[in-house]
Amino acid sequence: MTHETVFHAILSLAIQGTLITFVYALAALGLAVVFGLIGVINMAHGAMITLGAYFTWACLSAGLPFGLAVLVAVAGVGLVGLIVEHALIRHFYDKPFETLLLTWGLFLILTELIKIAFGSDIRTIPTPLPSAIAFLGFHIPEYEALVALLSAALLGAIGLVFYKTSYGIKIRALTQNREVAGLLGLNVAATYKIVFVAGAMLAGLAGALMSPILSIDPTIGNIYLVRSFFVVIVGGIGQLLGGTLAGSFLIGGSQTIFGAFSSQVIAQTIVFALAIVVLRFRPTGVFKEK
Amino acid sequence: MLSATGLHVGYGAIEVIHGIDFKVETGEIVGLLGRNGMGKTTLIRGLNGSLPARSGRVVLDGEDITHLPMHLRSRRGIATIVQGRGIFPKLTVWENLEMGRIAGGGQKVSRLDEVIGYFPRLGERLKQLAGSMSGGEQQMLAIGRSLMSHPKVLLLDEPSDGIMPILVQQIAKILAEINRREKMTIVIVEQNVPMVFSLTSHCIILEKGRIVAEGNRDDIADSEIMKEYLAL
Repeated sequence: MTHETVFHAILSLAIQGTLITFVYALAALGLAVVFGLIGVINMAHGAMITLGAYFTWACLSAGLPFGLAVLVAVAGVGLVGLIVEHALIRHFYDKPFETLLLTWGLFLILTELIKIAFGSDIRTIPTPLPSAIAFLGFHIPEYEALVALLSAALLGAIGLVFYKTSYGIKIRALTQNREVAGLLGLNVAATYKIVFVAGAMLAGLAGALMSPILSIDPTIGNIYLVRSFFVVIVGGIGQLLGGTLAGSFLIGGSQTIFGAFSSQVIAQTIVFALAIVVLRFRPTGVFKEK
Repeated sequence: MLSATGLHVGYGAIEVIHGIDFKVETGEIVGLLGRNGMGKTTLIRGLNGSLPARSGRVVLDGEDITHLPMHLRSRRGIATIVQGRGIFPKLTVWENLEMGRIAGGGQKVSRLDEVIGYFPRLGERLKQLAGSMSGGEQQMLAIGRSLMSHPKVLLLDEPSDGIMPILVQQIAKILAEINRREKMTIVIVEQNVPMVFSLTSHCIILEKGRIVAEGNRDDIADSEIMKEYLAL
């Protein structure tokens, strides 16, 4: 094997690993926000991703352009999140076990409702950007590159809001001491509602943007729920930026690397085993808080 | 200014405050004294809304605020400095102070310069993480943060708890200055009787959720009350 071939193989893995890292980050961000900031382990996150994909498919079937379909899907999943939060979740914020069971029930209900509304047949969405970008002899699918860029931009935007705005100060204060934040005048219930709905919208966005690169069926969110959960735990709960990126790389990017030397099944097994080893030595995640 | 009438407050099935009548006038400092577990903190929580009243009324400037949640009571002008200070350790000193200004919404004018005027140490540490400061500095931050919200009344729960005596004296002096300059109404819960006596002559003694004595500092100091209810 020549040096050129090795370099080519490494670069190929780096590009694929980067793309998949950002796709996983996109999928996990909604869960990271809801789990990390308000302590709700939203087991319905996967169903919300699925819902985002189906809403996009339905909008495209109704003749809407892709960009508008994505916006409608995000708003639709956000509305579902708002209804769920207002009717159920807000009564259980202090009870993590109850919210876990509650959102698991919601996941089952939403999955069945999706089957009733859209059927169980596999749906596909043609990619809105079918061509590829030529880069150092590689052909990178334009749409996947766009999704990775949007994911990176989203992470950056959340970082800006979180660390550079008044709203970010309020949310960070709330996560540290909810009662004192309330005693200073913060409407804690409204802030929790906003965070939960934002998490739902992010899940909807992930489903909508990933829909052209997936075969859509009522259970596609399941696998992303598991992966997102690992991303958040391995990255570090509450570590929205560095944690999500590091977790996404460990779960998604490294799977690409191991997949180059073995089958995908073995690669996935190695990755989850690696995640467990990481958690054994860093139980609060790779981005451990000081 | 702030009053409670027949106030009952408790946790779950346990009632801690049994029908207290209490009043503090504008610009006045009132000291709430009592041993551990006598209901001082619970009374503060009943006043600031972090515990709901089981019965009775809480009135601020003529408005019945009994059923308002704590964030709305804060927006009406009740600021609480909780026991243990309650600073946000992973926010900087500036962010903590800013949180005092912005948490209640609206467009409140920043009082940063005035707060730093009272607590110059905070001005030197604006970029420092609040959790890395000493207990005394954290207490200054907690008081300064409350002032940022333009309050009408300060409720302080054990401000001397875990703080070096020299800093306790300093904080007491600054509280007296805030009261004098701004006619700030202050309710202070303390076990540190000398600190309370240095601030006010109006003291209330709580025993098992009831007011057992109220009056002038000198009366309380000279009586058997000190021995009986404060174990001094």
